[in-house]
Amino acid sequence: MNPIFLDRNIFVYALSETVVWIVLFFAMPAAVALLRYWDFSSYTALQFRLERRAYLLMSVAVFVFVLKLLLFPYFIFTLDKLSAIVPGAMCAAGVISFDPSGMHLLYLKIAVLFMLVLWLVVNQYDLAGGNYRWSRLKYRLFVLLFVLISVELWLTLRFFNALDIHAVLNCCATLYGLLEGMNPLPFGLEKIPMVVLFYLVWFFALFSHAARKPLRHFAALMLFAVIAYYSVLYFFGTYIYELPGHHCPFCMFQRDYWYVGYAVWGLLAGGLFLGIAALVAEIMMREKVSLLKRISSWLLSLFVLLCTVYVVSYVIRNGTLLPEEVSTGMVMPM
Amino acid sequence: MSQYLIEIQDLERFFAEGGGRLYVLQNLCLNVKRGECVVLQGISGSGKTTLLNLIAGIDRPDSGRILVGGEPVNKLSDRFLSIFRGRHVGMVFQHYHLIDHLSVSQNVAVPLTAADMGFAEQRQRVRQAMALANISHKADSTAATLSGGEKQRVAIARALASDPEIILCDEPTANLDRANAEALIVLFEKLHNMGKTVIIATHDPRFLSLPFASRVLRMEQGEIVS
Amino acid sequence: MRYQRIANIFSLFLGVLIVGILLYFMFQKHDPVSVVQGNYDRKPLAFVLTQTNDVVCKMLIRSYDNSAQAVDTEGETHFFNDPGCMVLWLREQPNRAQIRLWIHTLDTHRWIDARRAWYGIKEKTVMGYGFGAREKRKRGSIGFEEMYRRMLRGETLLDPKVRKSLLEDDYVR
Repeated sequence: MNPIFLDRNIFVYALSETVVWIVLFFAMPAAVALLRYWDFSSYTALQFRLERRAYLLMSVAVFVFVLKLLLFPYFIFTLDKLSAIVPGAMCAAGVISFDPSGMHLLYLKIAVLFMLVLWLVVNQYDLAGGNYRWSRLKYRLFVLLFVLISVELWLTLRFFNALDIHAVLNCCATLYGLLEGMNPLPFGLEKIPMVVLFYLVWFFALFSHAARKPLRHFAALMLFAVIAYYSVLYFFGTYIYELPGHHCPFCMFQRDYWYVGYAVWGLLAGGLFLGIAALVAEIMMREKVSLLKRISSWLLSLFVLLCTVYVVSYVIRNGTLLPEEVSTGMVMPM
Repeated sequence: MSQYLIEIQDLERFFAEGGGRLYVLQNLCLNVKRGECVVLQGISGSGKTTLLNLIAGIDRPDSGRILVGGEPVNKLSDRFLSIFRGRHVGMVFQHYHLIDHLSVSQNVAVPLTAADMGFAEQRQRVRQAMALANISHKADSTAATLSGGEKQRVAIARALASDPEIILCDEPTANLDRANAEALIVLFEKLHNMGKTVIIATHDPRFLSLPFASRVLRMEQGEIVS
Repeated sequence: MRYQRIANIFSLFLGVLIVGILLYFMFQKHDPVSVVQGNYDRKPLAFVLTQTNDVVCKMLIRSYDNSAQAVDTEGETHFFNDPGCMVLWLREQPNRAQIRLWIHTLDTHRWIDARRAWYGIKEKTVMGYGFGAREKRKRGSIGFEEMYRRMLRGETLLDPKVRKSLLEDDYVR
């Protein structure tokens, strides 16, 4: 076993993830039983036992959600702290990219969080309905969550176990720097049109919400997810760092930048997760989701405001926008 | 619509004990019409309190069906159960369960705090319930300063505050002297005359010969035997 | 509701605008090329400067001089802005001997077989390795195999000791 597990943060993180998995593991037989035997119209002893267990599963899911919500920023924090002892890595970006599975792990963690939000939304409407008509969907999601969290735990432990503090890692400049001539932006966009699109898509999402068009709103949020990510990376992030070539999504989690990364990515993720989960409930389950959509719109608006404030603040202080990045190309180490 | 306000079919409730099961209620069937007054008589441990708790939705059965006003009470989620109880059921407990440091009017208002009504309407309901239970003169007294009989009246006023269809009483006269117990019986008759459905669980022999009680059911070991 | 209708119109308008912008940019200029398929003749290809990337260092190739191409047996052509990058790429290939290598010379300014070229060892090159390709042998220049070995051993102008010894010789002379 890698002695890196003795690092305080990794130890706490790994232990917490394991506890979450153990709790889910013990809840799984109940979930499987619920899936197999659930029949709300029945009044048998088995059905009543299942209904009591359903409350247990709800408690477990809420517990897992709260813990996962806390553990995800803690994961970023842990990677950031590790960058101090791993040569080459200046922030979490370098550490996570140590292993090819690192980014997959990050995406999986984000996917798990989204699935948990979705589960809670489905659960909310299942309870509100009174006849538990979404119970089967809920328990299928629960089983899927267990599988995802199992894979996530395995990947997490494998990732930390494979970390070699003697190997030189890449810093974010190598990973996220603009490659000469290459356009990293999606859809062939350039920087300014992308920023214009950022605001247009945000307005599109808001107006689609106001117009009560769920499919349009869903499309807007999916597009906003992509555009917002790249806008933060290649435009707004540079104003946070006040460096035109600094394109790292992780450095803004550091103290030097007032930990603003948590706010930026937290607001974006929160707004998107809630909005998309609510719209899934509205489109597929035909439930009324106005409160959730409103919260989502507020979170995304706060995110847009926060990003804009950095740009406006820079312009006010300096009287100009950031200069264009001078591309010097990348030199591969020998 | 069914003629019965309360329909109970094949109700079972048991507790795990020493590897086996202790049945508190088994294969219990009971139908109660709207406006009836039913007395459940039996010794301690016969299952009377458990039955009342199940009808009120405070407890959940292990099998069987309970329909109250057509609603499958034992199928409702916690949220719907709270709404159901708030609207349809008033419960009078053996040991009153008042909040000692609150006043009488505040105790009576407790079931209305979660209800969707304004302060003015709440105050009016509290006044009406206290008047019905003949405890208005003690409105501002703290519950801890009341006698047993007065406490029981407050408990009844509290049960009536939300104007429920069903009043469930669990050993209402167990801790009362004779005078207070008889006053309480008069109150129950008033409630019955108002059209409330009243179910009284008791081992007080005075309730065996109530003129307004439509039925006296004897319970033994979790079953209705007569 | 009235505001809903207004919001609907705005959102439709924005949706169309957004789709239009996306489609416009999706069909715009393409990313620079670093690999070209279908070169079955395995000859050096003409390419556009500043529109072609070195596949190793990812830099744009801004001059033909000293640039290189490698064509494998499937006709896949890779571009390099420096013979050193070509060596780094070649090292990773399993069938090195079958790959055809081309270099654009500094003296005759034409494409020749890189394995027949002569390489100066202290030239000013794009990546700073110091290997400048020529068709005609010059005093002090080395052959391809020697250049390949030196590159992999790190004996380039990027190494300060090598740099000092090579350039000091000149100074002393």
